Amino acid sequence: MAKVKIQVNGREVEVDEGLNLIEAARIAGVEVPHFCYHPGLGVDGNCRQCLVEIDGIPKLQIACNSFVKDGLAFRTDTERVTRMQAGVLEFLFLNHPLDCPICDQSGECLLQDYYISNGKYESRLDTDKRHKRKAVPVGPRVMLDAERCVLCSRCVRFCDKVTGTGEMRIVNRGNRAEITTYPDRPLENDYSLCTVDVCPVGALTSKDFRFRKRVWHLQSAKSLCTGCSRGCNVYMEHEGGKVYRYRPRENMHVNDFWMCDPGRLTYTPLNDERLDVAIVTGEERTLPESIEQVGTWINIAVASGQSDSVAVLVSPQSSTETLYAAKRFAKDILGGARIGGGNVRPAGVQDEILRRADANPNSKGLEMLGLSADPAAVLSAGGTVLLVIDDDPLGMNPDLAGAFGKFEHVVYLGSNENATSAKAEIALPITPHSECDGTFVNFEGRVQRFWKALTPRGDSLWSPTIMGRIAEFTGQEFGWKSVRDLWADLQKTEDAFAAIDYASLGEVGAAAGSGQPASASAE
Amino acid sequence: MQPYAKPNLDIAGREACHVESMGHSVAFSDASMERFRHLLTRYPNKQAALLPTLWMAQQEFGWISTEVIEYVSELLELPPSHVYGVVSFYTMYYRKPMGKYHIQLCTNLSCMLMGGSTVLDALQEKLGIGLGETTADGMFSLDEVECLAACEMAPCCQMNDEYHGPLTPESVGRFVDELRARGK
Repeated sequence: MAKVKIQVNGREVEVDEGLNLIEAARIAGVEVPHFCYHPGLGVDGNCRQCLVEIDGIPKLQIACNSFVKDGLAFRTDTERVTRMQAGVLEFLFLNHPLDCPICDQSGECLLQDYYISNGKYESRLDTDKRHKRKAVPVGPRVMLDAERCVLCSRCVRFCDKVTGTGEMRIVNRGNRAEITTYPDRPLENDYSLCTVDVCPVGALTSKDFRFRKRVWHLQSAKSLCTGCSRGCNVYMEHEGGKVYRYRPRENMHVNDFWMCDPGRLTYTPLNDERLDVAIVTGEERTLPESIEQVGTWINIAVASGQSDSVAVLVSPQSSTETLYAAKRFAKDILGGARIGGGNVRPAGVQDEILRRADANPNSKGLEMLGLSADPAAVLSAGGTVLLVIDDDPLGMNPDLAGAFGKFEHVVYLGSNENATSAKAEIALPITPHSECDGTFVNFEGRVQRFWKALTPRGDSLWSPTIMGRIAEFTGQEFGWKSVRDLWADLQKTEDAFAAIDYASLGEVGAAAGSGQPASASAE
Repeated sequence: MQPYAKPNLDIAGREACHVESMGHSVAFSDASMERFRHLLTRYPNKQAALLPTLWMAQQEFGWISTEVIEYVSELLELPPSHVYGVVSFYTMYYRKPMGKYHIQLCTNLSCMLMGGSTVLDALQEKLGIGLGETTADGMFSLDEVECLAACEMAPCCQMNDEYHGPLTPESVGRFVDELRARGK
């Protein structure tokens, strides 16, 4: 795209032609206050907060609907601009309740931020504030506080432009205006919680998150949603070892700015019913002695030349690293054990926006590693040891119990207590994607990173480490100290990953087919 | 100047029939439907015809009920919430049933100087209702409005589509009686 030279507050920058002044200022490191403009929802021009002074134009112009051209110069720091911004804020605040201490948006509220930087005046309103509806459930997952709304219409435009469902609307006029849904048509589309993300103030809040945590206590890690094979990019927000919410993270190759509600609520297994210590026949044990027991069984099978009596059942829920370690474990350490996995997660809903029917985050990774997705071949003949890695195949498909019973020992490597961990003779705790670095490959073949957010809970270890320690009992080892070590091997031994460099995946991932990182925005 | 493009009545008609068959409790009469189809020819798309369609609906059904909003939203392929937003924005779309004769009295500057408020008092007393109310027999509704752009006949009122003025506390009594006789 052609570049143009512009000046922002006297500083020259080069930006793409066609950008609006809010985006251009952002590139120059200047934030133009705004409520209604959102890059995913386009220009609306109703809030008037983004007025700037453009050289050669006598009146202030809204930055969202003014576009760069070569030689354009504008300022956001003049007396006129700040006076105007304070004036617009005064109008927005006329009827706005001053309930920040009990408002759940507090700390991530644009109105609060702008007022603190450019406001703090005495109210000139000498009549009562107009009161509107508070704490109204506008849908099963979203609460409305109409008094806090600044009528930016982002939620209205989201429901019109992105989901096409058109539930939200501004009704009435003047100081009576408020956002609402049509009677008996609640805001219940599969993306309704995105209205909470785009809401710049505390008018729309998430029922799942509200009043559970003050946002300034939260830490944020870049991660991925594991609800389906889209792999929406998210911020995993956590505090004190607990994940509180997912928020969509911009990735124009995958999910734009959005994510679906069911996916957003898939963080709970990271907190609840965790398997965080090793369990041997129902008793808690230390991890080393549990691993020793598994290693001994494996070693006997290998030493007696019965590698094929061992089977490894993997899952498309696992990270690429877990799958690769399991494959190397079966093929190299054991010298030819059966390995494969099953799409045990039942197919979900697929739509035209983001949701995919395949409810597994890494089906494509399984396929690219050449692993079968059919559990039958792995399980059919029975044997000595069955290693089950990740997810809950027995819980999803109780019919597998018979096949599991044909093995002398069932060992489970997983992050949660479930039907499979209960059935296993030994259950070993491995880190879920909140507690390690790694990758998933989405349905389009885009390899995407997730980042370690939390320290591993209890005795949990990274699954390749546990598999490596088991392997040591056969006198062999992987020698991987980190994801990078593992990826160096993965790139060498797996053709499908040969063109992908872990270090250059960056925040937006890389398409496996092209061999080119989609963007060079490294970590 | 070119006349309006000739309407494709067939297409509009078919869609309208489809909506009618969906079992709504309200539907345009044949004459209104003909006017509606003609209306559509004036706009680049159906959605643009919202305001006049609502106006026609109000003339036909008296007020804009929830059923009317849903009927219009299906006629024009708009979300009902959008139609609701538009209806609630404009005060001249009525969200409750109105009397047969809707008297809208101006109390803006010229009318007020010419005694509009005494006329308003007299009207309220004569009708036995306050502003924004409708008489029990459903004959009259009374509202106060801003300038009707007829200051030469101040103080004046708009009764349905007719302008009346200048009014006095005495003449409004006769005016109401005449209307009541006309309405029987």
